[in-house]
Amino acid sequence: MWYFTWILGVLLACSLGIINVLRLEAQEALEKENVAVDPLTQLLARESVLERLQEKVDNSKRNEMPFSLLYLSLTTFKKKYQLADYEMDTILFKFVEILRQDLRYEIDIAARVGEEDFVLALPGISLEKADVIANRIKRNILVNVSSPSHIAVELAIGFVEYTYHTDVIAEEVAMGMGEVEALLSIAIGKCLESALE
Amino acid sequence: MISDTVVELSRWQFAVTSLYHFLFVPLTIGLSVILAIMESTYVMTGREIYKDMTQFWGKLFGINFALGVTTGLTMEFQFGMNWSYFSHYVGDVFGAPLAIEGLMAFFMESTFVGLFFFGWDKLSKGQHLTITWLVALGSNLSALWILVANGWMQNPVGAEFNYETMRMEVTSFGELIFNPAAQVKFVHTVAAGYTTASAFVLGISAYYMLKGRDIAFAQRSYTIAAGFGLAAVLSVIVLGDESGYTDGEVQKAKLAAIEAEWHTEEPPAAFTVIGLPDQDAMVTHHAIKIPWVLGLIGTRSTDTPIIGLTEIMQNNRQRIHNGIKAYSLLQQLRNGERDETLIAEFESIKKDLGYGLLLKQYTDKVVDATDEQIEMAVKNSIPQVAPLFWAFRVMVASGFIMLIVFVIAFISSSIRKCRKDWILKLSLYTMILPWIACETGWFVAEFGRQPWAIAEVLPTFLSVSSLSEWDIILSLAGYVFLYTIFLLIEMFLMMKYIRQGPSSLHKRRYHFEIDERG
Amino acid sequence: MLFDYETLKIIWWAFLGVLMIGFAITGGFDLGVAVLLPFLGKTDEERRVIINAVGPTWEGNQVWFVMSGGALFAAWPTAYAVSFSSFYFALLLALFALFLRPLGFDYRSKLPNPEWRANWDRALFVGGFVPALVLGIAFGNLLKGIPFHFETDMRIVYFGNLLGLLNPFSLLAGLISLSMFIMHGAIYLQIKTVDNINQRAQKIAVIFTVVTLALFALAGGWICFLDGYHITSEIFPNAVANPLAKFVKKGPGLWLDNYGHLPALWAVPASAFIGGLMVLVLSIINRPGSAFVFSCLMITSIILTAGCSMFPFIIPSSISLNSSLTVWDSSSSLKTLNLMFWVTVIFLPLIMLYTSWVFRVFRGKVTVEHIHKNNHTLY
Repeated sequence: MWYFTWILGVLLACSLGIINVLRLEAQEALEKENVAVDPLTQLLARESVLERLQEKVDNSKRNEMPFSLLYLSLTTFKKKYQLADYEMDTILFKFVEILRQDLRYEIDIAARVGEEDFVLALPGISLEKADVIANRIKRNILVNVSSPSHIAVELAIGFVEYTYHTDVIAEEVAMGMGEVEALLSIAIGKCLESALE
Repeated sequence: MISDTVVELSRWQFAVTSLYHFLFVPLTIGLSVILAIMESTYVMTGREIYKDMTQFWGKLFGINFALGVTTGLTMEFQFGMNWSYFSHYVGDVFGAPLAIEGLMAFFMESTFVGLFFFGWDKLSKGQHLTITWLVALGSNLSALWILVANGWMQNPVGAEFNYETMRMEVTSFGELIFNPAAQVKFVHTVAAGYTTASAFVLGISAYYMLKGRDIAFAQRSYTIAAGFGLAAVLSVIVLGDESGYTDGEVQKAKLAAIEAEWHTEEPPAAFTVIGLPDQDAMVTHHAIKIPWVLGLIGTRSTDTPIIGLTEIMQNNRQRIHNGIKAYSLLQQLRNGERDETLIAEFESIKKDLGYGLLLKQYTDKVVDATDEQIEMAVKNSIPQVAPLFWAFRVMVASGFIMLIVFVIAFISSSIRKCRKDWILKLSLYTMILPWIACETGWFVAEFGRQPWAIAEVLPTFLSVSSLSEWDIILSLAGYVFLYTIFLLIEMFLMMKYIRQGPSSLHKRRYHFEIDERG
Repeated sequence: MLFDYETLKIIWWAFLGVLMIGFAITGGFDLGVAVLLPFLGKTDEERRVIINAVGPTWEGNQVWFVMSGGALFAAWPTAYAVSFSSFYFALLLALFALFLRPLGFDYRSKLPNPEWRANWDRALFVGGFVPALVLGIAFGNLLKGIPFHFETDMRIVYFGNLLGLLNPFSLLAGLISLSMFIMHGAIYLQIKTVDNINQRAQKIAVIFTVVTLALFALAGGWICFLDGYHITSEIFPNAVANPLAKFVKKGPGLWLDNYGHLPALWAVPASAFIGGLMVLVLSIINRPGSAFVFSCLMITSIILTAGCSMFPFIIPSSISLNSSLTVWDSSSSLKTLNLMFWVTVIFLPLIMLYTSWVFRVFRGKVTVEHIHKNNHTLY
């Protein structure tokens, strides 16, 4: 009698395990839908990114690993060549396609925080590597994204590294800014610098 | 007469080698099923992360499996090497389930485990999944047959003593396989294995989540383990209860000893939660009891008494006297006498032959046993209560704590942010409890059967091989030495791979490889 | 019940042989490969090639060994009890050596440290060498008879020791066993590897085929003078298992008795030599697959020769001749033999089926490139 019960029991127990994890998958899928996403690029929208970035900061502290925040902007480029919105849209679309190729699933964060402004958070990447990645992205955009009238697409990137013991943001935090806001403001600053070069 | 030291050393050796073996077996039994669950989810959803899970936990499974096999070889050998009289006396019955274990389980498990590790690229998804399920089935069936064998040692049904061959011989394989002791032991033991493996996966996944690494991976592993583990720990407790009930029917002395029931009490008997059992005085000091509980769960009735040790010993005294008679009749039969009435008389009383054999510890002739010697045999016809009493309570306490842990883990895994630190820490720190429960459980099972190797048929002291003390001292030393080294190596490797986590798969998707870019 | 007790006893004598031969032709080449590991693999990569040539299948092969022990326990429990307790230290040594195998295969390549790997390579060597030798020595001692007797309650008393087991004839048997496993392992490597390792394996295969045949011939000659055993009282094949109810005599050359009664039996040792010759030829002309088949035949013939020479004895006793265990008086009961027969008849073909399927899945050569590609998943 118990042998038969065992067969039933194992099947039941396995089902419980599988159902439990499938429920988790469904829950996550649902949550993904509820996360604010930019309609054009399908990247995270501004509202969702702050919370996710704070998670990365917390994680970075727990693991004592760095992460780099990149701020990418095509605003200056758009202004310079006075491109219309619809023209920018095509460019942005292709730009995001190329960006995605480099993203690591479930690890990196990419968000559209402004009309032509984007944020990339790359866990585990130090400043030096971020530099390499930034240059690579710039090159890829230059080569692969075509614009009307064949203007070279110039991307401005600013990046900052967060490590749990960094004092890069010490000033800003002392002033009362949140860690994420501090990082963003530094990155934006660097981005503007790079755009003006 | 057999040297007491040889008996003691042989018992220690068997205890040490089987407890060592059982450090690895439950994880093999349970983790193989968990791997099958993970791979099934992979095949069902197509998501790579589940394949990564199967392969990572599979690596840990492999490290553990190697030592399970190593320590298992010893067990197969040891019956013949150290317990040769046992092997002769009950081999006709005991050998069969062991051989069937080999044919049905070992071959399947060992042949397909190589395919599990190395066949990912050579087999289709469905084929590989089937292989994983067969490995799980193999390890579970292996538990089945060894527990049919051990169940027979506890409750020797379906066999009878043959005076011509001087051994126990099978009368009914059906009774052997469907022995209630075997059935309940089997389901209880595999459920314990499932619980152990679930706690293993739960604890290690909790560690990753506490560290904030490979969250998606850890969350899914945790969730599967929580679900499977909850069902497992509930089963193990229910079947533990069933074991107690079965003991009440077929191993009354063991149940009485575990519960320190010195005397038969007015049913329903009270349950002694804690106390200090005193075998000489036949009383438990400072006992804290809960009325009615033992009677209700042990007999599932309010009027069936649980026989106490004193009454059992009285019964045993009578059986020993019967045993002396049986033994003398046996001698006559062995001398060649074949009188019809002699044979009939022997057949009617041979079930107490084992009790007569208890006297061999004091006098080789048995029939010339003095009253003193008979009293000693009666005293030693029940196991030592204190170790059993405590081991049992440790096992049950561990089991109930794990129940609480799995309930909490299951509930929290149903809420997305199953990352409350206290729950994760609880999962991690209680990881060792199932192992404690498994080992104490086996102690209760085997020590509770003493002084018998085969309950009421063959005493332990009689079962040993005729070896010298030094033979066993050397072998015991060898086992302890080698096993300790192996255990240290295994734990070292295991910790190394656990610390690395799924990055050890080198798929460039996980924590320690996330900076390999640029 | 399809068969009577007598027939079942013979069937189970045959089954035991099948299982032992099964181990010799499967686990045998694993042991041989392990012995050859330090010699045929000069670099870490070459050694990984050799280990992975047998890696996926060695565990299944070892079960034939475990099964032989299990079947002995189930069908010949008294023989199991006598042999395992008498060969205590020899088995202990073999067991300790066998311990090193699962750990060696699984753990060796898990760390890149060269010392770690070198030590496990040594462990794997010992894990192949010692069991191969000990099993042969044990078999040799069975042919000589071992000094045990039964007390009236069937308690087994053994009067020998480890040194006694290391007598010249048994050592020869040990060398035959070791040599034939090395030959078998070398041929298997010839099948599974390329280039350097393949060539080295071929040389070894040729040498050890010759060595094995030579040693086997030597043993054959020796048997003519070795004390054999013979039952002198009337045999009751259907009787219950009571070894003490017979009379046995011992004398030189008695192991050749069976060949006298049944001259066709000479075909068994003869096929060992024919097999050996075919192995030589096929290995040299680079047809190792076919050579392997004949190697299996040769090993089967060698073991069968020993079994046929001893029949009906399973474990002769050299000091208490009547305590000897034979096919007729040391088996399990009729019920047990019958049940085990049916279980075996169902499962053994199934086992052979899926085992050959697994070997088919892993067919093909193992190369250094393959190791590089799968650095982290292979052994």
